[in-house]
Amino acid sequence: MFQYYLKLSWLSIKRTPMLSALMVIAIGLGISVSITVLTVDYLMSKDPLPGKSHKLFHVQLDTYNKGNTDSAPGGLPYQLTYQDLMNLSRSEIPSKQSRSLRSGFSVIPEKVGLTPFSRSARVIDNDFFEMFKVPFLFGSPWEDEVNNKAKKVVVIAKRLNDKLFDGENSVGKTINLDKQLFTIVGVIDTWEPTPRFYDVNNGAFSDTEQLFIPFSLIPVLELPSWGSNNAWKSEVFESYEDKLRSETMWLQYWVQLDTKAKQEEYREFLAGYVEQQRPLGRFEKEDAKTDIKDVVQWMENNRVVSDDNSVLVGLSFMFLAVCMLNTIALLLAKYLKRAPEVGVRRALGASKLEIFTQHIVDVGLIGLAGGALGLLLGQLGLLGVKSLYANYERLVNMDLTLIATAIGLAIGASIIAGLYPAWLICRTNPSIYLKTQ
Amino acid sequence: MLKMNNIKKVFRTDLVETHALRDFSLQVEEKEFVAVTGPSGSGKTTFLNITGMLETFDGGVYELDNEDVSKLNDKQRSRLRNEKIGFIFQSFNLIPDLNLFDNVDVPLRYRGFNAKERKQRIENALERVGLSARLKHLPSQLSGGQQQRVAIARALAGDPRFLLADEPTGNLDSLMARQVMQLLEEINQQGTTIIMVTHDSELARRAHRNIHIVDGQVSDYQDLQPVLDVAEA
Amino acid sequence: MLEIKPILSALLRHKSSTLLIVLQIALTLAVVVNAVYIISERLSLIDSKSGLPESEIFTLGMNAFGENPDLKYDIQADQELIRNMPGVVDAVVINATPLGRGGDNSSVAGTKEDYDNGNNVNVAFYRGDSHMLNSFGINLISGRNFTEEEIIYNRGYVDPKVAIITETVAKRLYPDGNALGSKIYFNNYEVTIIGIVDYAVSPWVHHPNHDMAIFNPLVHLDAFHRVLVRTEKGALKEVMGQIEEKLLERNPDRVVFAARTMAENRELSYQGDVAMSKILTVVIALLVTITALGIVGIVSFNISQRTKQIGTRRALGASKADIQRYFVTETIILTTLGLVIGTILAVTFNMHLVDSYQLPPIQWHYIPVGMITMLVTGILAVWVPAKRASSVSPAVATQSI
Repeated sequence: MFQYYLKLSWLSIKRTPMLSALMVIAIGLGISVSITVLTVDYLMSKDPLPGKSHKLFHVQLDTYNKGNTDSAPGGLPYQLTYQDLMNLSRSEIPSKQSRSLRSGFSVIPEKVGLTPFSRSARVIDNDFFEMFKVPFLFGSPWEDEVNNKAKKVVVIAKRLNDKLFDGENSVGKTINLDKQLFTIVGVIDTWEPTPRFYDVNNGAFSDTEQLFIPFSLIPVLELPSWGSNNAWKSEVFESYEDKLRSETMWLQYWVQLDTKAKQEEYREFLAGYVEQQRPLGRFEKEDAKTDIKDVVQWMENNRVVSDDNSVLVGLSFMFLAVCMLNTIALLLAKYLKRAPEVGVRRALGASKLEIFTQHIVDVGLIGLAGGALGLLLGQLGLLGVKSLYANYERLVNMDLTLIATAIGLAIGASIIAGLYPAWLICRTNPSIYLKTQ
Repeated sequence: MLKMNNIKKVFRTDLVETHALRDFSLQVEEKEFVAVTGPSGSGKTTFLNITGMLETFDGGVYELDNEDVSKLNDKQRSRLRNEKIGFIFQSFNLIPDLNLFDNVDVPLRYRGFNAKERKQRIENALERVGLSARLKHLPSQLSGGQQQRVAIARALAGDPRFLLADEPTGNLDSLMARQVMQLLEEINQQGTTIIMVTHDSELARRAHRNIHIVDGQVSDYQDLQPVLDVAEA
Repeated sequence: MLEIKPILSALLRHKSSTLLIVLQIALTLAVVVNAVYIISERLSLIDSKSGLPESEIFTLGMNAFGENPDLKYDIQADQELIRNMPGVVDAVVINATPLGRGGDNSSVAGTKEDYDNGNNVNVAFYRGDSHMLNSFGINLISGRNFTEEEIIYNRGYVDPKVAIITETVAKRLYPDGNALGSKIYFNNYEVTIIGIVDYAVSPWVHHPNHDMAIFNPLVHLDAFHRVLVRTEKGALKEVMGQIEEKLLERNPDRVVFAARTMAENRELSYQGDVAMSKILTVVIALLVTITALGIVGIVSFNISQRTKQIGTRRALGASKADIQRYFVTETIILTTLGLVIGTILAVTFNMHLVDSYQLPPIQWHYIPVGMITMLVTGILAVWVPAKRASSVSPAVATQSI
């Protein structure tokens, strides 16, 4: 019977090409706007490390004095001081951990024809690669001991490796960064998480760094911060050591806590740490808070999905609603026109349910066509969005989930739109249409 | 066998109540050919619609082959209509964008026959009305008389026991009307019970029995010819 | 003479299609009014002035390498080099640039008590030498510029003694107008206000106090620093084209990057607002089109359903214009009804936006403007089908079925 309904639907589309085209356009436009906006929203907010993100936590401490509160959501600062980072990293509770800083270097190439250029660098511990599932092309992260004993080693990104070494295995070679020679221990494959979830407060849509340097080099090389620095206390920095000893918040800290028990233990550890620091004149606030947030919570906390986006999602659904109201009106027109035929079918033995089903199939087919049109227009919409934002290249590509969502949304919305017209047509009295034509 | 006892049908609007049928009783036997006459608005068509279960009624009992119709739900009624009743209308009511084959196919689809059986039945039915050569034509390509013959083929394709005809010759010229009437008589002789609403008293006289409806009630019976098989049974 | 009563009763008989069109118009109005409002907010934001002669200014970043570079010497030599380039009005090595999206800010107050009580205001800080004001192209209203002796060259951060503030900061901290010579407090610092400038903006266009700034005579001796260059009119492109080469010629041990005109900085700063405005414009255009098509579709259908009725009216003496007026009046009634409901929806929707996204509440005049737009759209949409309806022949009335 389904095939028969499809055939009837096709015939009716052929008979009312204008009306059908209007419906397909209405649904298509509604879907294209919704799916364009949803694509951006979904890709911004989706879990970047499914299955693992809930075990990775960003650490926050409220080190402010009494008069100051951070403007970040929840009042807890995004970043940590160097001294806290050094103290916390001694804990054995996390199974893995990585301190983190955004810095940068001038790369001085040996290759003929290349002039020095600057590249941002991620300054981290070696667990970073495993925690965030960074794929390696050549080599591996540096040894554990480098986390504590500074050594000039570096992991570089494929793009940089292509530029400097023509894509060959450069492990063991050296690279000149700010006139210091670093030994390359690894080359990572293309890894461009978008949003850049491991550091969302320094530009969630910036490019991934192309240099990865041991965190232990910070005091040795006196690395500058290429990210934000927050200071609330008046401290005079005569030297780099002053900054390391200061209350300036400029570093990030990720820990891996595999079980609920470990997470609880770590929360208690942080609370204990605050108490332990108080006698030193730190953590002035009586209720100085500490917190750990997993990857998804951290992205939400940092408003990776902007307000503009949320407004657009709301608007796009209202737009879809208008398109659907439009479709309902057109369907009513189309089906009332077809009432005499329905009268004949009823007289020939079709039940109300069969008439209803026939029309729902009809709407579903139109919805499918609308969904296909919506996908096409949605691609145009995404091209448009890409052209409007500088850092959206990697972000706005539809995956299978989104394509399925678009088609599902189109068919679902159409069927909902079709319920009333189909119900109306199946329960009209057939006899009034049989006498005249 | 079709039996109606004290059927009532009232149409209501905000202002008026119209009694289309009042205490309407009638029994139609197997293989009868009954003509129903009466003035405009007397309730002829309402009677036919209730007979075909296209309309509900407000009182009384209607049994079709000993089954109380008012106790059936829509699905059961539709099934019953599909199996036992064929309809023919004044304005043919062919579906304009289906070709002849597909028009005759409609009731068979709802019956749930397989493709082979449907094809067989459609070809037989169209052959019975003499139109087997035009399967792929659209209704608009046919004359009125041909269209009505297709409608008859559609009504017959499912082998119904009852054929309900509402002014079947009303839109046809006299020559075509005669042909259609002849066809109906043949069908009746082959065993299908026919109830035909008509204005045309000459046509009505060719039936076995005439029922005259006035103001929603049977005012007159007239047995014109005995029903052969019934007499023997 | 408008036949409102018969139209109303006809509309009531076609409840569902009437309701649908009314709802559609209502929702459209709600979306359009709010979207237009958001667009106009963004456009005024994009147009907001920076106080700088933007067409004469560009910025760049510099990162020095080399073993223990003498940064103080380098910075002074670079400034001198750029300032002496033909076509350059002035230049300054600075921690941040207006609309540059990176920099320093801090909360400040007029008194220590205010600061401690949280009665403070967050302001952007610019740090450089006495050429900052001239390079920005802004003017002192009162007080004086920094002297050479006041400039502190330091690696890290040392507390400065004096500051120049914008008039906006002066008015906020000292509403009585006695800012000059008074102090600015932030935490334990105490800085004397020696000058007030007419206008300057922060590096962040969405900062709540974007139109406020404080200048300190402090030059950071960092390997990484920014440079702001002001050129003579029309000389910008030429200077920008030569500057990297000149700088590297003097000292090759650094990388010069991200040379951007103020126009480019502006574009990057307002990228999200421009995008939002464009997306909303497309949405509005599509929405109004869809609604207009909906009206065309429904009216056409109504007319096809009422062909006989129209013919009868024509036979009874209605002129073509009467028939057109009938359908136009019908649409006006429907649209008006939709607009009344739409106004309620629009305000509700706006209240939600204000609550959830801290948008300012809508200004009332957007609603009548939106209503008139929708009404005109409705009338335009009904025109074609109404025209067709009026051409129904009176003969239709007498044709039997």
